[in-house]
Amino acid sequence: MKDVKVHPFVKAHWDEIAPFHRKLFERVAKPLYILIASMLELPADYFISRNAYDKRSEDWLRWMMHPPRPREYYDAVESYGIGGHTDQSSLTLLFEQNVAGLQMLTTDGVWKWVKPVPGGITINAGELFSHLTKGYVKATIHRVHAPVDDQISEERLGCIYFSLMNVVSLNNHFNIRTAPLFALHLVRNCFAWGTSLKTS
Amino acid sequence: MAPSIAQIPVDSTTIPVPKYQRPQQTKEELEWAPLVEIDISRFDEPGEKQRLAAQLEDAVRNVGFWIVTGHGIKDEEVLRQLAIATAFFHLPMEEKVKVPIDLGNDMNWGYREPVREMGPTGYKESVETVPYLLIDAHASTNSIKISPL
Repeated sequence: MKDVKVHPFVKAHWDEIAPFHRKLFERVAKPLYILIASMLELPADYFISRNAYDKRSEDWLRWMMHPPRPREYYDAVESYGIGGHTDQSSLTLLFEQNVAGLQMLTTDGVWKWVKPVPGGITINAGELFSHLTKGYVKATIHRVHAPVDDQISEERLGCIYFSLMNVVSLNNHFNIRTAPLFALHLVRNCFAWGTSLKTS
Repeated sequence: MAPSIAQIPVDSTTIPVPKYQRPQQTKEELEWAPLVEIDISRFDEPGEKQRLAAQLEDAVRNVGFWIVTGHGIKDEEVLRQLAIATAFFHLPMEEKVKVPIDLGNDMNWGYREPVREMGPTGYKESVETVPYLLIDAHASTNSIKISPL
């Protein structure tokens, strides 16, 4: 174990953030892992035992803020954004904040908006789950679209929980090595543009 | 000349966290994806897992997106988390960048400034992120530790 430098603001609110994170795993991710295991006729704890939250959780929480921008901005940058992508997680949990932006690609090849549901948590499956189940679980392509006219002056906040299952357990049970891929390829492509990366 | 707001030093650990209020939903006619909603409030009752699994199967296999309700996490808890995140992003930039993201160094807990140029448009990206709040179950306020990746 080693110390990790944490922003003083995050540290100041840690006692509220950490239990919430844990609750998301227990109350939302865990039931879903049980249901998907049952669909595959696997033991109920099949995926949970590989998540091993208490040993070393790979799950993480991400905050994102899209401050308001004028329409000209969105028109200009449209081709240069991240565009359609899948997540590298097994399950992604998204909290609704009402500003429409998320779109998913349907099987018909049409982009459709994901509607905010009051009290609901939006879930999507990612590449890790799809990989482990040989495509049974679908990792769907999605993107963030520019805001619509009546919400263009709103901030769009994202609070996203990525559940990844435990890489150490995965190494034991599935003999795959995910960490270098995440560190060097996916993470860089998805999250680290424009930062000075030390990849050596 | 009076100092501008940005010049007044801020202590990010004691800055108040205002209540978060969701913006109004859009009134525009958009093409919404039809998503399955599963209510897990009776998850532990007999037969319920089989029923939910049947309800969810198509979403898992073919749609990839679905909605979970009945999870027992109160909206006020969610709003509080959204409030904390918003308060962070509203800190002055010099405060936010004090702990920057450093993926190459296993130091993933930081803030990523919107510095990327959006192609030749002359604009920079707008999104700001705190991408890696990787939470360890045994962590506490005084000692936040994770094992190296």
